[in-house]
Amino acid sequence: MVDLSDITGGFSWFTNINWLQILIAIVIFILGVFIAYLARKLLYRALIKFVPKTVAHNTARIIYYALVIIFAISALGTLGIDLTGLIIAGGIIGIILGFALQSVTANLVSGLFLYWERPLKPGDVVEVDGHAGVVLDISIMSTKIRGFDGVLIRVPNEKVFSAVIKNIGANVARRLEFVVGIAYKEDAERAIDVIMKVISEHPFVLVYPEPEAFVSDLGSSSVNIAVRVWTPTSEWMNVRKELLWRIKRAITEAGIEIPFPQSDVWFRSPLEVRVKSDDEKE
Amino acid sequence: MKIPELKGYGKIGTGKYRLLNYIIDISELNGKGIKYIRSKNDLILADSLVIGSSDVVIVPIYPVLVPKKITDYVLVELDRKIEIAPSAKTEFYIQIPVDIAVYAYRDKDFTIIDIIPGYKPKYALYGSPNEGVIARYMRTSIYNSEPTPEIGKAVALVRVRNKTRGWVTLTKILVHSNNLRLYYEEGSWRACIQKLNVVVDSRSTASVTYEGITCTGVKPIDDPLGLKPPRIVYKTSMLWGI
Repeated sequence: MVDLSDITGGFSWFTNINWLQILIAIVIFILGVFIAYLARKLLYRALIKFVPKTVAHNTARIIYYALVIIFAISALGTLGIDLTGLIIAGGIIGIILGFALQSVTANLVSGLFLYWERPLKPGDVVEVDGHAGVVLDISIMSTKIRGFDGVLIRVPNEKVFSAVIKNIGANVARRLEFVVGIAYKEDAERAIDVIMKVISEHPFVLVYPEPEAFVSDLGSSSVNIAVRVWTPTSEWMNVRKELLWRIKRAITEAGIEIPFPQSDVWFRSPLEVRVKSDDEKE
Repeated sequence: MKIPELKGYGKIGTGKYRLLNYIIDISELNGKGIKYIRSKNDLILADSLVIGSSDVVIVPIYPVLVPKKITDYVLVELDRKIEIAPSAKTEFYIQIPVDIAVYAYRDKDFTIIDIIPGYKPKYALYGSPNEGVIARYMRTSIYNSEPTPEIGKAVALVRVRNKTRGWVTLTKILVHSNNLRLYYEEGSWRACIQKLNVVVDSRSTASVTYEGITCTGVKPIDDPLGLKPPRIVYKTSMLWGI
């Protein structure tokens, strides 16, 4: 015959369980998940006003999982499970991951700061870390720029954050500056008049701030005239392409010489030129 | 044969016309429509085939579309400063730039086949590079009565009120092209916009509101899609100098 007491004796641990503690642990965990869910919703709603959707979503999710883990650990603690070993192991894993994912974390944090500070936004024409182009996207880890040659450039956010950023398209107007050299024998004032006439005829050279042309330097081969004009930022490149050639053409048509670089060589002692006859050569 | 000069806005038929420095050539297209060419010194600047319509109308158009649409603002600088005493009011006429549009109509539907720069287009920055706006620019005289119509210019009656307790100097007026309505007289280059009401709030700020039309004998242009004035007309704030 089978002794039934032996069978139930195998489940003696079942009777030793503190059901109240388990209930408390379950309640703590469920309550924790609920609080984490609420925190995620509220945080998402708060963040979406300031940062892009993806950042708000990811940040809220990180907070959600962190809270769930904290409440799960608390729930296990009420059951008398010693989590010291787990915490130590978690700490070690954390340190290892910290070292391994150092650059990832740096990019992530830099990405968040970029969203907050907003030194650039998609559509801006920028120069970042020596790469010039149009910003296509700022994701949580990297910034994508389409170079002027059409190449897609991915710059890690850590580099963007620490780099000098030139936001070329941030302002509505931009200054264009170049130097025109004329020969020393020419009348610089007349050359300036010619330049100013060309400038005034270009529609996208702004009337205000006023354009200016002035003698900026007495160079080695030429009298240099600096030309400074303001243009709408969107037209800066077109004006740059058109204006310099128009000025060159107008100056040439006005009979003003644009000199080549030239050097006068002076000898301290008089030069002696000796011409040998054919007999002497032999 | 001498090419006749266009004398004003309105409907034009087939033929060659002179308009500013351009030659406009409109020819029939085998009864199917018209061929439109605008040239300058034998260089073709606009060339269109218009199918199903032969009604071509020349009208004034808002001065923000050519050479390229880069702004909605128009800045008019006065050739003389106006010193206005505290709480004083004044009224005068000014001219603002307009370009010339060539519309092709079929019944009431139309399309723009060309826009000709009416007045030498220039732009200026109003305000600072980081906060200001780019605006189509023109310098205007101040008139006591409506000035003689000129191609490429529309007339506006301006009423200025100094709301401050000190003297102010008015040198320029900024308007938003979306709030403008253009009117023209057929057969002449007469074009008008609404009355501009400039209220000076401080020594360096003012607001411009747009009232009704004061010109008589004129009709409104058909506004192209996207350039129709809003039902609620907002004021234009001049925050960076007056």
